[in-house]
Amino acid sequence: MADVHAALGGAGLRNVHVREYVRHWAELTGAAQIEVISASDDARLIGEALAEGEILPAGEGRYYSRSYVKDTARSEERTVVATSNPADKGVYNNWRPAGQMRPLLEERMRGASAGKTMYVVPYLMAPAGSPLERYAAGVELTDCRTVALHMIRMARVGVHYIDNLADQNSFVRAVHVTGDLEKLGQGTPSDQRYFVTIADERTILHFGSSYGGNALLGKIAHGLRQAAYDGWASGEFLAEQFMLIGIADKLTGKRYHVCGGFPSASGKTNLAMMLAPDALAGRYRVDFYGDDIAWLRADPDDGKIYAINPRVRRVRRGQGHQRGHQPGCTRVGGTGHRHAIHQRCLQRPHPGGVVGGPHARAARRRRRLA
Amino acid sequence: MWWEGRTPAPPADVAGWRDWTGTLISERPAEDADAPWAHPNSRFTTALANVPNVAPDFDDPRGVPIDAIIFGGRTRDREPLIRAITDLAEGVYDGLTLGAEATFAAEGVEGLLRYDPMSMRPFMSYPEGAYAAHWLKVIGSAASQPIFAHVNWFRRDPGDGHYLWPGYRDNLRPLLWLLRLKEGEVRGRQTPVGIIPAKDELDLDGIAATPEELKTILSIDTPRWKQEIKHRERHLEQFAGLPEEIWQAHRRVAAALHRAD
Repeated sequence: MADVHAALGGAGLRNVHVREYVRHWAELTGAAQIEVISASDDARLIGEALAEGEILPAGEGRYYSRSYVKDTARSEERTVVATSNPADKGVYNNWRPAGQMRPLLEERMRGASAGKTMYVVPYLMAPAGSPLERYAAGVELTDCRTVALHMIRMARVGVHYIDNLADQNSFVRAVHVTGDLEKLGQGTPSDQRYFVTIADERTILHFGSSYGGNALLGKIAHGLRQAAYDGWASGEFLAEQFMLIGIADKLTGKRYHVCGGFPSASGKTNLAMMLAPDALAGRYRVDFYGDDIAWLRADPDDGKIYAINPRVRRVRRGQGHQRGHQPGCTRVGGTGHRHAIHQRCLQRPHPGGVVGGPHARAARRRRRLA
Repeated sequence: MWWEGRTPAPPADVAGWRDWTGTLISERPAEDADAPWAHPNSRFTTALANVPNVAPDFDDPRGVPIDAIIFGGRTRDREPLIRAITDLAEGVYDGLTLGAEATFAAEGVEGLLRYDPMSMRPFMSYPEGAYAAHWLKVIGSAASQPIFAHVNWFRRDPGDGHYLWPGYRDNLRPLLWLLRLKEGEVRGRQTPVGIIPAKDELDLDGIAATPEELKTILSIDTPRWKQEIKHRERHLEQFAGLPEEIWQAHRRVAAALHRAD
């Protein structure tokens, strides 16, 4: 059993509500160790993940991580919004009673992190100082190291984001337990996975996946579902799956901002990363703010609608963004940029880049998964 | 590292390459020879600072003031390139009736959209009627209203099916028109479903679209729209407590289409 208080104290984490929350879930999941993560831990975690074969080198500052073959998508039918009020049931939110879902998730998570490290990831899904900052703080608990690495790339991560909260109890509790991926019956009648947002308790409980938004709880689960609920409950803001761009007119000096929603496969990311066509590039410049989430509020000072992208990083699909059509897209994941983690694409180990134990372990896992 | 589509052809020498499952390409069974090398959901995570056109002020805690809110589905035959909406309730109504064509014809009626309100269908956390009311309240509380618009980059030629608009970087052009409309620099042409660019109002310098193609994507197919209005009515009827302003917007658009005959 992990010594929770020693681990949290060692990391300088003083918020008593966070400490109690970590203690509860460490006990329930049976994690062997607790480790508090800040963005400054990135290099060390990368080194550990490489040594364990959880990620593979893919060129300087770039890494490759491979998903379990049955764990490559969100699952809408396993995703639930729960509250204690039946009036919260809508057509699309797959509402269930909180009193039913919490025990169900606790049962699945009990002892499921035995022998593993529970990473405590304090994060902020807004720029510090934002008028919406109080809805943006969260603490993800995850038993998957690569999830912690992705959270560092996607959100602002550090102990100070939750130790300095004005209301020390105002943070989203986001618990991710991977489970035994090979025994979860993904897509079958005995599917064990559940991805639950208990919205009126600001608690997210996800079990059974290490994929994208199933595991990085700051983005879709907090940044969209929980934030949309918070925005409605407080009456203060909207949280939408919107891209956000700026258009600068270099002739007049004016700057405009456009946000908007597009169903998947309708060109949202391409639009967000658009460069001006050559014939207009002398006059106009398109600035990227976000391609996935925008929080919108009315500002009482000037009566305008303001938008932020709560994420500081981007997680995007690689395939189908063709270099010729949209230079902005492919350059990001392409050569010359550091600290990118690629998933589920094609990979050839860098010549001489992988040696010894890690390679052998990775090969063993590949054989097991194949 | 390589993704499907990153270069026109996959790497010619397959030696050493593994697909997303970890299987060596050279050892694939014959029946899987044509399977994609990368998973359709392959992706990468990187810092915003690595995006070449990232905004200089992306980290401004106040955020940025919004001039326009747009919705865009994938529609082959009905939606024009862009139609601007200046009324808040009609803008929210447009977001609630956003959708994309079903991927497989078997999924539904020909021409019927899979509705995806505001593109939030998989992420909705509270009831849709309250959601619409909250939109009217938050955006309505701003003294300075953003303009709304619906865009569609995917209209096709009814004959050979080719895309009528080049898309990608050229999508900036209709957005520039929208911003000029908001500034009062162009007037556009009023239709039953919004304001569309008048001939010559789009900046088409350097674009490779024919006058016939442009005429089609800047036209309203009234019979198809009347069909769509019936689908929309059934879609909206699912939502308990939808604000009366949204139903009024729906009836205004339906009546305008009726008068257009």
